[in-house]
Amino acid sequence: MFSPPPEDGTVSGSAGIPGNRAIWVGIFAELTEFTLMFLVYFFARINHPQAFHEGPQKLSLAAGTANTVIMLTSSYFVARAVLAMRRDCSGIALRWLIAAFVTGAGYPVVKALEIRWNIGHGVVGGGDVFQMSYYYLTFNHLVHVSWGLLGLVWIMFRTGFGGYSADNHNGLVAFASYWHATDLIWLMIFPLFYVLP
Amino acid sequence: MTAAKLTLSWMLLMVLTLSGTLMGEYAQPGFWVTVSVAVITTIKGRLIIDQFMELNHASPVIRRIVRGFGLIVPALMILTYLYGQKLAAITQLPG
Repeated sequence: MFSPPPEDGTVSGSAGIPGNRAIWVGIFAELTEFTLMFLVYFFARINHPQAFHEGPQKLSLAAGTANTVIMLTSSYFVARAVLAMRRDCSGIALRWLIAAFVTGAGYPVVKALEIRWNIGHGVVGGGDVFQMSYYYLTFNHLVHVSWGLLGLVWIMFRTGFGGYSADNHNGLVAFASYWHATDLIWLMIFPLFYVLP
Repeated sequence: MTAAKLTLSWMLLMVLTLSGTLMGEYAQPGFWVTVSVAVITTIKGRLIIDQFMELNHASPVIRRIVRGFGLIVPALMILTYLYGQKLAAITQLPG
């Protein structure tokens, strides 16, 4: 069912599975969960086109853009950490991971500021169907980011205490896969709520 | 994967994100606006999947599933723009 890993070692783990099998069970569960939520979003959108046409104008595009830049940049730093670990440079990998954490920690901060801004502008959970969808999906995503940040702390400790090497860093790659998947989901959420008129 | 390629992908992702932001600021509803948002979303997703996650080197099962996920939202953007009313009619509960 699975192809063998490539010779150049670009994917860590067995049978071409980046990281380990367990993380991919989690990632597929995450993708399934959000696929269902996206179907709910589109069902609501086709039944309430006016609310979804006007919706993005009520949200802070700056906050949505800031969190997109944060997610992409934190993801990039984690990818650089994996590259560094492949060269057996765990000190450099740790620095990339710290950069990823500091950047990623900006996500819940921006989210908190955004929610305060929303409440001040009447965008609340009990609002119209667009606002309900927005809170439902983005809060769920925030939960996934929070788990990711906790996982990142663990990975930083493991890296700092010499838990990974160029030959064995599947835990780091597993975390990176989860973090990139969470980034990928945000890239779908961003246009749905902040961009698409 | 090289550091230079990763950095180039990140820069492209930033440019595409800012393009999306400009569309969010100024664009009015329309077919080509919807297609543009869908294409930008598809490219961004593919960059994450192939460059950051390196799934172009991974098991084809994992690669196909995640690439498929990256196409669901862009496809539904266009489908619901074109056939929103028809889809709404056939997804209503009777009575």
